[in-house]
Amino acid sequence: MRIEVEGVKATRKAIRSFAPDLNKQLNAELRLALAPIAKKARGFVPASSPMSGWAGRSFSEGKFPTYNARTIASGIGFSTKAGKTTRSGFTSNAKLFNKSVAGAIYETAGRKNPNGQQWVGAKAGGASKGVSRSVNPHAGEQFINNLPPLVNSLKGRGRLILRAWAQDQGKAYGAAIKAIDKAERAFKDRAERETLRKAA
Amino acid sequence: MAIDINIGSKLDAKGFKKAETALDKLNAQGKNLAKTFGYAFGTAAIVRYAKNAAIAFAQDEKAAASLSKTLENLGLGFGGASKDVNDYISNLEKQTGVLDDELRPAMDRLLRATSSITDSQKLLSLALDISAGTGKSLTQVSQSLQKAYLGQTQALGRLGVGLSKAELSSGDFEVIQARLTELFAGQAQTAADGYAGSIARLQVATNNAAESIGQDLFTAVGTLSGGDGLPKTIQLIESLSSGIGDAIIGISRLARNIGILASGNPLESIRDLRAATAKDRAADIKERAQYGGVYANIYKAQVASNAQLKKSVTQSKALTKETQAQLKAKQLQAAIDKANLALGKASDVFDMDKIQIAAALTNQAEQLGKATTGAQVLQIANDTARLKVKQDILILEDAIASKDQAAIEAATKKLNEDMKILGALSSQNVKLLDIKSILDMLKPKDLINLDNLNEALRLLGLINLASTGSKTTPSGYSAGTGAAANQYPNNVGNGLYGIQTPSSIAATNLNTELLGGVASVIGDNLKEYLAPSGGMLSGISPSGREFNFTVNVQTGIGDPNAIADAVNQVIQDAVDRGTLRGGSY
Repeated sequence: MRIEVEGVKATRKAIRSFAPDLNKQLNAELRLALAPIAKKARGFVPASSPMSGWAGRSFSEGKFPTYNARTIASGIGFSTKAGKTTRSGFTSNAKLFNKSVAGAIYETAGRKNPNGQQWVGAKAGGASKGVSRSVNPHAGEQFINNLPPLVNSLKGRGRLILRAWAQDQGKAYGAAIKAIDKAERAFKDRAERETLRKAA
Repeated sequence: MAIDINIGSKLDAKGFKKAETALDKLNAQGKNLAKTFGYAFGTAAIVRYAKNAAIAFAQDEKAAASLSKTLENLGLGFGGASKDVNDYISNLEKQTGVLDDELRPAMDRLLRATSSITDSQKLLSLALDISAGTGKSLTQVSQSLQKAYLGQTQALGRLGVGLSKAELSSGDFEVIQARLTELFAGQAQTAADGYAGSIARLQVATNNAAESIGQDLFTAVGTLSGGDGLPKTIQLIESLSSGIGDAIIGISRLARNIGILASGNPLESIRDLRAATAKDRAADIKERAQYGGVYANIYKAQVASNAQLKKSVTQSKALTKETQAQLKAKQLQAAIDKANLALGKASDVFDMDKIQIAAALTNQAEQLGKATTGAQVLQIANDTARLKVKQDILILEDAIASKDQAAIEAATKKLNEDMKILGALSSQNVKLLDIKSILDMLKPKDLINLDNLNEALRLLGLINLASTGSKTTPSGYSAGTGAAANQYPNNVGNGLYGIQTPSSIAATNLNTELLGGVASVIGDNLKEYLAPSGGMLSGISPSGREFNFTVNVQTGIGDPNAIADAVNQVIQDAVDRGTLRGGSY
């Protein structure tokens, strides 16, 4: 009986279940491709806060996440598992991530509003998060100016993983795609050549 | 928030396929549901039908009027010809299943060409046969025949009726008509007799019914609207059509409701019936609102009413919530008050402030006994005044809590007095009397008070008198008068004694005792005894200031050193006790 396997998740699951050796090999190759980028991205995290006011304090003043180099660095990594299906229907085979909140701010600040969000002040009404409610009208601009410039990559502009991705110039991407394709082909060939049994 | 770089992303179409399948299923179910609840959409359909009926009647009337006018224009309208022609068309319609909407224009067209009712009727019959035989519309065929009758046969040739070019180009319409009659004879009747014809005739009947209903509607509306003109008529048509729709829908719903009632469970049936009726009413009003007019107003009013009701319910809920919160807060406050009351009661026993103040006052009393300097006494007085103020505050708080006005006033007065004292102490403008009044609080009044102090001063004066040999009593002090004054302290009832210049050992002893001293001797057993009024004391100095006691020890034979030690010890003990006065040892 011929069974069609459709979709990234199903394919990866099938490889994991029926060809564990291929799965192991795929994960190793993906790790080999992505780990250097994650490591390089961690290296872009400054040891201390770019602004003294962003650094952590002994007391809490608000919800804005304070800068902590260790937290940001530990939030940068990679995954060789199939991701969740996006709203547009796409599923990734692997991913690099920068998951800490402070890290995401450092990564993308100024990407949408190069001069900071529109200032409305602390006394303005409404609950919109797309505006600056700081007492300092130039807080957003000063914040962005104190950060390193954004680096263009094919996946977007950023300062950490996107910068590392840009500097890699597609080598990791090619290696990852090649590894995925190789595993899928090998699995397909094996499925056509022999009867696959689920691994214990 | 996380920033991801996805690698090797692919479109997973499986979800889309699932969604598509689910959507198809939903669509099918929706259609079934629509069929099931078809009656719910009946109101709009009925209203639409009524409108169409009225329109159909109007168009039919227009066509009939046009035909009559044509007959009139052709000079054929005399002797009820118009009625005959309309009757002919009506019969033809029923026989052939072709609507009069087509027959009347065709007849009108042929009448204009032939100017003869008979010829027109023949040509119309022929046109019906050709239409049935060729499948062309009656309008197209009748136009072709009209043109051919007038000499233009090309249109007839294009119908594909089987006429040769020669026949068409001959221009002889009679030949052409004969040929066409031969070719298409009986086609219309045959078509009408068939299944399709039956449906067509049914359609004709339905159409006529609609026109009839429309005619009746117009008649009724005309009667009702009177002279109010078209707007009133249109409004009445809508109302009337809605009424007819109501009747039809009502019948269908009655049938459904009978089904509900016959279901076996009366209570359940009544509940279902009420729900269905309410649902029907809401659906009716909503559907009719789209046509405007009175139903739209009703619907808008109902929507506004519902919104207002919903708003009221929301406000009522909010109010109830607020009331409940207030009630809860009151209950909590009552519980707190109750607890405070209990705590107040308990504080009488476990009031740490009061306990601490009492302990502090006791401590101050002890410290006063140990005080050796004026500064220490002043400090103790200061602390005592503060403690008293604190104590007064607590008493005042208790009085306020008890709401006892007299107690509050008394406590306030006491507090003010103590505050004055404290203020005086703080400014270091301290009078001896103030300190005394403060320190008096630390000891029982029977032990130290002004009387005792005066008495002490008086005695000091006497001491001075005795030691100097003066017989002048210090001012303010009496010497030997009064019941309490100069009374012998240890011999109550022995009469009054005044301190006089001693002239004997007994007198000296008496003066010593009057001054609070004790004259004692050592007995045989080495015990100390009070000295008798006479003897045992000797060696009074000439000035009388010093007393040299000579102790005669009457003991048996023994070690003189031991005896001397014993005597020394006894004297030392007397010194330690403070009973040896006025001398040195």
